[in-house]
Amino acid sequence: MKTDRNLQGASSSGSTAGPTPSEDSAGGRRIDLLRLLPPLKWFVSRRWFQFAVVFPTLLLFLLFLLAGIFGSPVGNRNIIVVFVWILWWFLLISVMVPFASRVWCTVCPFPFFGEWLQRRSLVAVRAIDPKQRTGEESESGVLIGRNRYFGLNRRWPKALSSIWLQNIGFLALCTFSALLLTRPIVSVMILGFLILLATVLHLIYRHRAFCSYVCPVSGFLSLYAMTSMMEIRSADTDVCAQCGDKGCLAGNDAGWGCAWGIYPSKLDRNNYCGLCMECVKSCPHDNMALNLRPFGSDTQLKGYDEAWKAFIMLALALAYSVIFLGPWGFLKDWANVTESKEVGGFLLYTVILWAGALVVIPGIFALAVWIGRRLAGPHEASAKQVFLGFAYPLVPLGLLVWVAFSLPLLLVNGSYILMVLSDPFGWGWNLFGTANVAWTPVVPQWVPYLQVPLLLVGLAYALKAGWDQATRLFGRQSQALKAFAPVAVVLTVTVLYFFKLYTG
Amino acid sequence: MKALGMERAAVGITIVGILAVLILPFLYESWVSRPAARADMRVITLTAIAETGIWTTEEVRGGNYFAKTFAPARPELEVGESVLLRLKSADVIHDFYCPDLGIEPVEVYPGVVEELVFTPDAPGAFDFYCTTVCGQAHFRMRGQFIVRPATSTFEDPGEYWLAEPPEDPSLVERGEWLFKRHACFSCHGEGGHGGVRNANYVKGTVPALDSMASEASLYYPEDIEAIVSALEKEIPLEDLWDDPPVPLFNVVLAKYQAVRELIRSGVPAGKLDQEGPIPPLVMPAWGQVLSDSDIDALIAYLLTLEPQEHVAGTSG
Repeated sequence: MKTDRNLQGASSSGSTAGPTPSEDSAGGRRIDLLRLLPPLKWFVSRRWFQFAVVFPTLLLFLLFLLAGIFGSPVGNRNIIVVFVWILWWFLLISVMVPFASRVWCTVCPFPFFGEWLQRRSLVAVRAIDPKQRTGEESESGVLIGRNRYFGLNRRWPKALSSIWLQNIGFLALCTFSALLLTRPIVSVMILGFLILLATVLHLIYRHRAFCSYVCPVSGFLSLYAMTSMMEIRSADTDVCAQCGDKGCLAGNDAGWGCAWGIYPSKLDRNNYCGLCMECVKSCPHDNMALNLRPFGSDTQLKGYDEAWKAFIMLALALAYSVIFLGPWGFLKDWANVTESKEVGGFLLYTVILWAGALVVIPGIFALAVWIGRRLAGPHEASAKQVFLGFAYPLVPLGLLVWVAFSLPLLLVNGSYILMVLSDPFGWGWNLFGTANVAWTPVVPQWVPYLQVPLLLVGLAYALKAGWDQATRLFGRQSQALKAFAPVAVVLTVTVLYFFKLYTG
Repeated sequence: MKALGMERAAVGITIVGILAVLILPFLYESWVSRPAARADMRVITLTAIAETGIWTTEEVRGGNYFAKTFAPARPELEVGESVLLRLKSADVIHDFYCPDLGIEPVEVYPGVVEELVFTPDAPGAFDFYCTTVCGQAHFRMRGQFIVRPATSTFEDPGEYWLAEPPEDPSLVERGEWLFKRHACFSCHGEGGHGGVRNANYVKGTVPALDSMASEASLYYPEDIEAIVSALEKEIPLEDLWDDPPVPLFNVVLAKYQAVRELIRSGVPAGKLDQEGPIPPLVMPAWGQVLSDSDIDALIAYLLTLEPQEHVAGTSG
């Protein structure tokens, strides 16, 4: 039976059977930051924590939208383009995701208005004590668990309970990346549409349906957060098993039920936890931990949608590297259709990009998996298990490839950040005296020497992860080696091609 | 009660914060960031747009740049009035130049506002230019300050870069199309008749091109036809040296080679007054834009041009 991965452990009947921590969450050393840093625990335990971290981002977001509409039409002189597509992207992929999981979701302003309407509060929590129900409470809002929400609060359609929508949305968004990078108004349209969509979906569907199933950023965050060195987990699953309150899932006076529909005791991967910290507040047993952990601790892909997300991300990294860093100017013209007016070229580019991401790269990978299974001989693992198991190495590899791709964007274009900091609208301001700094690429000659080690680390992680998957799936080392060899070749050839692109 | 108070505070902070973000940038722009503007000055903001080749006084923003058709500017001034000119670029690097008002070339970078002050001291129409080739519409990128009273001499040539090529054209027809497509007429005049003023240029106006045939000693239609025919057949004129198709072929060939090189490599405009401003209109180098066959087509077209009729004794 197909299950909703976002409702991990939270079945429709509300059953929360005993904890079964996975090998992922159990493996490796953990350091609980909440125990280690009491001020951090105090901060995230405040009811106003989420408001305090989201609201500044919301104001920045509004400033960006304003700059996109009223500021300079020149991309590199407008804060919305420079901060969102250069600074934010670099920080997201290179710092936030590897070191702090989905911490972007903690501060993301997209669901601000929707969640405000849904909860009818910014800070307070609306909960009722089930033992003291009078019947009057049911007159305003929909009761889910012990929290009452405004709006229709429908269940998200089962058929769409995956990240396929996010996969397609992200690919569509990235198809127009050249426009996003050069035309501020296009960024306004996209970001404005997303905040509007988030608001509407919060009024129709329960919890954070937008974040879980629609947001294109959330899709790749969910994948790469698996590698992150931070996680939220139940500190002791036995405590959860004996807990009668289950406030983390159902909500209580101290906190809202998990907006991502997760029962923390069953949480064994980072993918669908938005780090909102409500469970830290609502847990009556102070049993939530914010752990530091080794890189790449979550190692199980659980569906083809997740595997395809890995393929799409790799295809996009490859396409962008070829288009933006490669020597083929005509490809840049194809991608940048509004400047070049080459509609035919753009259509061809779109077809190649989509076919590459959805068919060709997965096809090559599936062929390698198929050959590996044939070489390995008889085994117990199903085709799906092997495919998903061997697709996992693309997660650490993809992340490091993206870091390697994003690094020169920041180093080469970093001086634009100083410019727009002083003149966010491109109106001729000079707030901090940096508006007229010359465009100065930072150590451009060192870029390949930084990219190559990143790619090598990515490949090493991928090969190690693939080998672990192979031994898990096939048991015998000789069989595992034969099964994994073709995929290892594909991974290595892929990295070698990135070498060639980056080093010329 | 404490929770309610906190909730009210959060709502208040939200409303105030959002309003502040929506209002403060515009207040800052209006009150603080224009210290040069004074009550006794006329402030004119010109924004350069490369795509359509205009300077406009309309506000160009991220939200309207790609959707709106901006009107070209033709600011009207009064003699003796102080003007604060604010120059902006909406896209690429431009170069503003108004020699007759003593304004030296000013590079205008996108996102940077260049400010300068001037005072017109005589009535007239004062052309300003973009002197950096900023895009396909660059040669349209002129405007005028009208200091009353004045009359205009500059006519907007329209969107010449959209001129459709003729179907199956002869060499001369292709040359005529290239002449229009690349806005040669904007400096050399319609039909190559000249007359376009070039401030402080040694000849006063940009040279006419309608007498090229006679300058090359091609006095008869059949001689012009012979040279055009050779170019049409892509026969290098140098190859005809041993069997010249026209009289004075050495003059013809020298003129042809000189014009071809001039089109390929361009030439600066000589100053009339060596201490005066640089003439704004120069012959650009077209070698990167036009092929050799394009240049031959242009020369063939120019050879067919005829000067405007002039009846002796009526001009005085």
